[in-house]
Amino acid sequence: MLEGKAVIGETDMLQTMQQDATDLASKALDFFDVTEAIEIARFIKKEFDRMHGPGWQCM
Amino acid sequence: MEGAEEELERRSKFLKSLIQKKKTIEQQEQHDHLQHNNVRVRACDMPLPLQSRAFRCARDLLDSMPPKKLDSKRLALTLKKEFDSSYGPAWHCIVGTSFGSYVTHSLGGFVYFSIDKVYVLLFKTAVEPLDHS
Repeated sequence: MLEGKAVIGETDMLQTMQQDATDLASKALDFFDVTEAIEIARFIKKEFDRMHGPGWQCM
Repeated sequence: MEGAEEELERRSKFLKSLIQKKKTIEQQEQHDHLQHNNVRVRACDMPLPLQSRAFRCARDLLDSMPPKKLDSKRLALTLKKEFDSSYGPAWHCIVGTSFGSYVTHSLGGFVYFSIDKVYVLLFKTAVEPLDHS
């Protein structure tokens, strides 16, 4: 598991979804190298689409 | 009857060659325009006129900014607003020098390009009406 705490810059999202986002980001960084930006974005986007319905974007 | 068919065939070929010529000229103009403006298209699903508008808008704005002082937020905001007002909602724009992305976009509403050393991602998504039931 990656060390370090996620810092939320700006948000308009339910607390539970924020938690999902930070958990997925952490998981993505376990799976992929930090330089694999597109793979990380793809992973988070696909998981959010699955968990919270389609139409999510990730940068 | 055969003469009429031959005439139709001849006209059809002539029209096809005209269309092909026009396409070639347009592509050449687009290529020259891109080189002149230092634009490189990285990925695209967008009609040429919309692409040109995005490049022109980005170029004009970058030229109006002081050198080495990129206001990426302003560039993103301007492009987004410009496309929202001209081509309907909802456009999204990300501007930066280093970012990865994975997005879902509407058909014909996606362009990812670089201009100078700035990368621009501009894409459209469908807007669902709010359910007031």
